[in-house]
Amino acid sequence: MIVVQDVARRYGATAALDGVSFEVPEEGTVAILGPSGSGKTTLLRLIAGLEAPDAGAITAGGRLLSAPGRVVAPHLRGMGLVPQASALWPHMTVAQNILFGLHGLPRAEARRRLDELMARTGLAPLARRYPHQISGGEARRVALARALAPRPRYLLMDEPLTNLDGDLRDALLALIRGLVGETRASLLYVTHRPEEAGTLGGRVLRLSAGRVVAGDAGAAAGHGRHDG
Amino acid sequence: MSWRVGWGAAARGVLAALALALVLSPLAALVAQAAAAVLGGAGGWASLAVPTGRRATLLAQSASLALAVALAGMALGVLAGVALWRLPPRQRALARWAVWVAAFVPPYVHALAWSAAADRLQRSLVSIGFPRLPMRGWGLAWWVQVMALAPLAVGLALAGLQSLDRDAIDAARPLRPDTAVLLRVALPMAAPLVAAGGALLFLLTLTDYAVPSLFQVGVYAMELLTEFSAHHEPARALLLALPLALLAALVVAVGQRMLPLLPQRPGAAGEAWGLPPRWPPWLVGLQTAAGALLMAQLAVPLVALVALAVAEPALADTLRSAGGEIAYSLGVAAAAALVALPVALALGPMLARGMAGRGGGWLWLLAAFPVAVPAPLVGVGLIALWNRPGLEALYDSSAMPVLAAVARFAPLAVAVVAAQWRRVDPAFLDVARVLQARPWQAGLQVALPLLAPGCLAGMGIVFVLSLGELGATLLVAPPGRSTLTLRIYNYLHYGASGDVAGLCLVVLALALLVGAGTMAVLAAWGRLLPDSSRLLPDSSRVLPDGSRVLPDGSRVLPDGSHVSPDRGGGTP
Repeated sequence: MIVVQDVARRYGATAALDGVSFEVPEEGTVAILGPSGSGKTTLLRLIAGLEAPDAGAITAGGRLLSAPGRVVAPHLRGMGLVPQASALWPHMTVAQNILFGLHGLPRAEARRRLDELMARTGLAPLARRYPHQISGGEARRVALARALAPRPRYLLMDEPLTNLDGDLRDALLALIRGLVGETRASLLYVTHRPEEAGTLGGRVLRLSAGRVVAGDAGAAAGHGRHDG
Repeated sequence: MSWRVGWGAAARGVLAALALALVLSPLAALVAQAAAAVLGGAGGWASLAVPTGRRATLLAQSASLALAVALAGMALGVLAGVALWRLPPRQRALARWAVWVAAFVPPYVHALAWSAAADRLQRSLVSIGFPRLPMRGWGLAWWVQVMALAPLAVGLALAGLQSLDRDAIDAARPLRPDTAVLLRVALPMAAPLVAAGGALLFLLTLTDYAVPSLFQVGVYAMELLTEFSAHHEPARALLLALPLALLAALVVAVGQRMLPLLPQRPGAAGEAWGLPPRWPPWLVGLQTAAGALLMAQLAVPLVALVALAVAEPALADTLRSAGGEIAYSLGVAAAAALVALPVALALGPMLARGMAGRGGGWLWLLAAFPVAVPAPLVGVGLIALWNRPGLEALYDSSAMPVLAAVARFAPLAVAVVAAQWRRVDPAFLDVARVLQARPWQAGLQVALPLLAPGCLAGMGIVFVLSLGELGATLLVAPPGRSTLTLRIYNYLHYGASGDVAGLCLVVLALALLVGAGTMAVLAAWGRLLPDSSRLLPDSSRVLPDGSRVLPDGSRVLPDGSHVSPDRGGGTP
């Protein structure tokens, strides 16, 4: 379980986040809904360990990950991150992008995981292509596969379906739900689209001007996907 | 409307042809003379073009020195670039500014300063019993070239790192330690600009003879000057230069292949690593050492020159007597910068557009090749072109050093303007063309202001490099006139004296002044005119072929046509 407790982050005089608290249950889903500039991306970066909070604490599985003056390195948190623009590395092929996080595994095991993910995401024919040779929808699937390859306990997604049209978005959303369910990762999903947040089937929190202004009580707060 | 478009294209073509002629005519004259000599049955040309014996050794020495300088420069560039990249934005901007200003200091100023510093160090070591070492040779020439050219390598490496998307770093950090993120993600993505720095250092060292000759290192570029001084036959000089030119052309051709990979967006102002990266001590140690070397690169010339100059009793007289040369140098450099501007405006956008199309490679080679031509050859070419009956008035005038500087350095201004053009979103120009009745209005009111930073940077580069130009000016300076650089070079062979140090300080001050002024105006312009990439739609990116990818995966080609996202076999 990820626990975010009274977290604050300022950039100069601007408070990006101000006393934010919530929990992401084990194997559960939380969607953070809010307009541009509400602090969604900052929140995700703080949880990923890419920035340090000015106040408050972030723990995962009972382990303190972030507090003022103490931040566990991003690669030691067991988290996967899917940035908004996919951010595939242009000098690596699709397969190399996904393999990046599997360094340290025996080669055969890494290969097996790669093949499994490529087959599951429909990317197998694109393994040797470079990011500029694939479409926007395919790039989102590669970013998802890359984040899930090391089998993280927690998956953080920052508006992963922005600027995709309706059919593509629905198909990708179904793929995300399926993959996250299969890997049993906890999902924290940031979006500005209420329908996307609702479709995920977990708890929905609304963020405005750096504060949590409302939670969706009807979405069974604190309940995971597998709780029924 | 079609006749107007036709006339516009024709005018652009004529202007581009004139600009190319200005840059390439010295070489063309040499080629014509050499062809006539070979076809006329002149013997011995093969022995000139294919170096053997001593000349082969000189060529190998030149190539090895250039390669060693390029490799050391790239290593220093990467390490110091990474060290500067992780600084907070304000300090990083200041450091970047200082690095580019330092790049304007001519190599011979470094030669004098490092000689003086090495001499002082040697005297201290000898006084405590160390043996005396010779103050000349390959090692010292290599060190001085690396120090003189290091800011170029560091500046380009930093520009490459700063152009990286923060999301690319963010996506990697949860997966691997920061060292792997740096080595596997950041550096490969910045590689085109790092390699461009290496290629530039290779070419500048390969074609330079001033620094090697000061340390008594024989190089091939010096052989060209010696050959022409002995025989006064331009065709022989060209044939002799062919092996060097081929080597340089090879590097330019490789550079041409990498150019489209250069980043389209300028350095990001924000923090690339929100949370400071955690690197192992060995990596931090290497970066610190590189940073210290970079600081020494800035401090040693200044301290050594001031120490030498203040010890010179007749310094004031020397500076007074050099007043004419200082004014003449400034005049030549200013004229070269002014002439380079229309050349860059005529060829830069064409080069940027052409790179994506057929024949773009040849256009790039034509524009960039003069940078790779040894300086003495440009001087010899100008003599071959203009030293003719009826042209004495021009040949004996100050136009010759200006033409030499333009032929050597205007291609750099062309490349800078081309790079600026590639950063301009074509949509801005499309909108201007639709709204303006006449094409020239769109050019004047929209394209020119967007290109202004590139124009200014290009002119600044041409000005400062012209101020330090030696190889070609030595051959074409009009009778009775001398530039400050010529005077310093002549003095330098007599050793590091206080007089020369004083004159070098003048050059240093002028270079720093112009460099700082150019950078300050560019910074002010940057604040006034936001980077166009920030005005592009979210998440759009520009591909090597010049097409733009929209967030839905569709592409807008350079000609404005639209390609659907499914071209790459796209399924959801």
